[in-house]
Amino acid sequence: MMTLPTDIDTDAHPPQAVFRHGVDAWYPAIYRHIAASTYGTGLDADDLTQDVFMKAWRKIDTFDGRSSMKTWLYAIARTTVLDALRRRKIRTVMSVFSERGASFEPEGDRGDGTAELRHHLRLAIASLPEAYRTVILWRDVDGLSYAEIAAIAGESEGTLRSRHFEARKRLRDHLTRNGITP
Amino acid sequence: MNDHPDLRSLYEDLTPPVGAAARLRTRLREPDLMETAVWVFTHRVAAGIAAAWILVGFLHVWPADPVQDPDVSAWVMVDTSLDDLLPETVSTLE
Repeated sequence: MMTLPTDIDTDAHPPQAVFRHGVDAWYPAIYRHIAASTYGTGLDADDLTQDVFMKAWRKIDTFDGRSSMKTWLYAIARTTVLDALRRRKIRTVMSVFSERGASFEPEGDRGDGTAELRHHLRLAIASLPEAYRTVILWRDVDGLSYAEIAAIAGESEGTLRSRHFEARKRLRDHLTRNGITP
Repeated sequence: MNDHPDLRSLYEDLTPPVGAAARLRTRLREPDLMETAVWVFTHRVAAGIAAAWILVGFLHVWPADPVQDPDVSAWVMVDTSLDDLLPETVSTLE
């Protein structure tokens, strides 16, 4: 896991420097989160990531440093993804699959089944309801603490802990039903 | 499933395309379409509407109707009276 710089002191730096720090530190992580959230939907993760940082730049004057830059960007990413899914009327990744009438073939399979397993795991996560999907991604993929997740979601840590537990259970059940053992 | 090194590595190959940062810098320099539209409206269209309103107001009062406008009516009366006096004045001079 890449080590990322700590958050910037917003009082000691101009907004441009704060924003540049946010881009340098968090662009790859936000991109990965969005790509994981929209896996299989056909949405362009690069475009959405650009939108997140464009929105962040427009709102940089309102960023007062009370929340961390990381959680602030993740919160913008969450609304950006939700808006994009809503605009395209995508409720779940499975609805996209059924509309296309075909299963997605994993890319870059080296013949050892690794890519296929990875593909099915990603689909399984992407097919979870939004609340479960995001908490799995934030906690298990992005490595955020419950306190950080609570700051992004605007919910209590206790609620998010139990939702995370339920999300893992649903994911495990889904994988077991489909004969996949991670 | 404890803290998941497996799930973290699951997405490791998802990295931003090369040139994403440069593309972002370019986009940041471009004026936002909505902001531009709002700026054009507030600075140009609104100014145009104000100018048109002033022009219409001006055209409405000019040329003034001499019958309706007491100032112009008075001026016409004065003018008429001078016309009436003119022959006498001429004859007096003669």
